[in-house]
Amino acid sequence: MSNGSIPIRLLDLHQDAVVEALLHQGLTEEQIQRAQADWEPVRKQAIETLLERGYPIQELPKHWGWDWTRKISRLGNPLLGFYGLECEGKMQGLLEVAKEGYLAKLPVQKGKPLIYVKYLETAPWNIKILEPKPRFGGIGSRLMRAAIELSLSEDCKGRVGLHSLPGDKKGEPEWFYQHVCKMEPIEAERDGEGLLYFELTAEKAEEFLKGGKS
Amino acid sequence: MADKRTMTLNLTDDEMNALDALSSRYDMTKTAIIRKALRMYQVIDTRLQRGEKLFMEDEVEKKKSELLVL
Repeated sequence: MSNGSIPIRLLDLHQDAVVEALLHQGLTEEQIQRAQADWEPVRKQAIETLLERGYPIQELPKHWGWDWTRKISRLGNPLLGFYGLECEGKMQGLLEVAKEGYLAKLPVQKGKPLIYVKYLETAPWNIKILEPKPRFGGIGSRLMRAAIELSLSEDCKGRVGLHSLPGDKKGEPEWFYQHVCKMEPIEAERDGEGLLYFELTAEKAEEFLKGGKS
Repeated sequence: MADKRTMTLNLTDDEMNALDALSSRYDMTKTAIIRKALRMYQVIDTRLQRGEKLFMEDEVEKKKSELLVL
């Protein structure tokens, strides 16, 4: 189910230029299948290359095992939302959120509804693990911005929660959510897999939006 | 974002009080509460139409009770 697409701008790090892109609010089965088909061979090649270089297997990005086509059956579920960032005919990032069923844990907003990020992934050519200069920058931030904007439109005041994949070094998921998105970690709310819970307050959401450019 | 349309809603005092209480508890507008309720109803109805049942569970008392939804 699609609620339309809006034009946005992305930073092309290879050309060092701002380029036009589309933020799809709602995805179709075809868009998800195409993204998975585009990403999967690049992920596989990247894993082989990194392992050949002696990269520790346990430090490979965990999201490279995600299969977005398994989420197709959830398209159209009114409790969920799907977003995609498209540039140059390819999906550069994907996001799945839950609009219902999650309440805030931080004392300052405890018990208030929030938007829960179930999955957020950047296309494999947009992360720094292989090359210091990936193709497009700011994909994760732009998708987080979409989650915050949804939170505002759902009257959740910008509150967002998520369980992050591990990695607290610069550029890794926990570092990104804590230092770029300004979310607060809550140790006591780790999930069954041990993933750390992060939450964004209404105030920090406003700050994040003020800091964004598109 | 999807386009929105406006409608007038007629509620009894009790219904309006219930809506006020939910709006206050969750720090949301009444419109947002009604939209949430409608979405939940939509999902529950889809599953009931498939022949599934809706249960409430009390983990402490280890009790399950079926919830009837029209």
